[in-house]
Amino acid sequence: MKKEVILAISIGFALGLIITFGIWTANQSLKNLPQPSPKAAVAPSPSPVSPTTSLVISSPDDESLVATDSITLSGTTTPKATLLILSENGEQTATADASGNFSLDIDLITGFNTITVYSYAADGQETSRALTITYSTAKI
Amino acid sequence: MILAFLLTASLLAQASNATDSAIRQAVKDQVAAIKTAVAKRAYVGPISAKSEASITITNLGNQTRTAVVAGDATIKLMGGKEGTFADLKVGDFVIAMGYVDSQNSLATSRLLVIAKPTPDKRLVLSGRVTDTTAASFTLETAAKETWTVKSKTKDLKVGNRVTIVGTSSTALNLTAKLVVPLTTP
Repeated sequence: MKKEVILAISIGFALGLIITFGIWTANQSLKNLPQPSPKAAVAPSPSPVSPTTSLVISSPDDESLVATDSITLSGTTTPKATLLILSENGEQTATADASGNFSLDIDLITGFNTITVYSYAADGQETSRALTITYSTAKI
Repeated sequence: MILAFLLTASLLAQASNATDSAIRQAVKDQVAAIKTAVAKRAYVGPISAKSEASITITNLGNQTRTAVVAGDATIKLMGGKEGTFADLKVGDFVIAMGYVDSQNSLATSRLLVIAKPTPDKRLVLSGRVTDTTAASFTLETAAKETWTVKSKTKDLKVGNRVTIVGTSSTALNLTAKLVVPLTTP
C-alpha cells in the first residue's frame, strides 16, 4: 500500500513537471513572437524639410476640414526653438519647450487657410512646413 | 506539487498577458486605420484634369488629389450659383469637401468654385544683422544675400540673429512688419 501511494505521488509530480515544462515552452515561444514595431512619425505634406532640424506637426492633419473658427496647432521640433507661424489672420511667435513640444491656438477665416510654420533652432538651423486647413460650417 | 501548481498558474497568467497585449495593439491599429479612413478632408487647388465622374486637383503643395463627384454632391459656382459636374472646367480653382478613403480619394459632398487666390505678399527672411541706421538695418541671409530692412532698430545690434516678416517692393529691400530676435549660436 505504501509503495502504491509513493508511486502515485511520483507519477503525479512527474506529470506536473511535464505540464509545467510544456507551458513554460509555450510562454517562451509567445515572447519570441515579433512585436509590432513603433510607427515612424509621418510628417504631413506638403512641406520643405531641412535634413538637420526636425519639425513635425502632429495636429491638425494637412488638408483637414474643420467646423470651428480656430484650431490648436501642436507638434514637436528642436528643443527651445523659436517658432514663427504665418496664418491668414497674421503672424504669431512661440517657443518650443525643453522637450521640443509646442502648442498654440490659431484663428481661421472661412474657407481655406494656409498656415506656414517656421522653426529656428538655437544652432542656426531652420525648417518650415505648410498646412492647408479649411474652415466650413456647411453640412458635409 | 504545490510549487508546480503555483509555477503553472504564474506562467499561464504571463501567457495570457502577452496575448492580451497583442490583441490590444491590434485593436488600437484597427481603430487608427478606421479613423484615418473616414477623415473629413478638403482638397484645395485648380482642377488639373477631369474624367467622367471625378476631377484631379493639384493642391497648394503641388500634389495631385482625386475627388469623386457623385450626382448628389452640392456644387456652387462663383457667385454662389448652383452648378453641376458639367460646369466644372480644367483650370477652375476649387475647394472639394468630403471624406477620404484609404487611397486618399475624396468622396466629394460639397464643391465650391472660387476665385484664384492672390499669392501671399508676405516674405520671411532670417539672418544676421550686419549694420544699423536710425530707420533701417542690413541683414545677411544664409544664402549670402544682403537685404536692407526698413524697421525700428532701437533694440538691434550688429551680430544679432533675427527673422523678419515683411513685404518687398524692390529687390533686396524689405519693409518689416515683424522682427523676431533669435538665439545666437
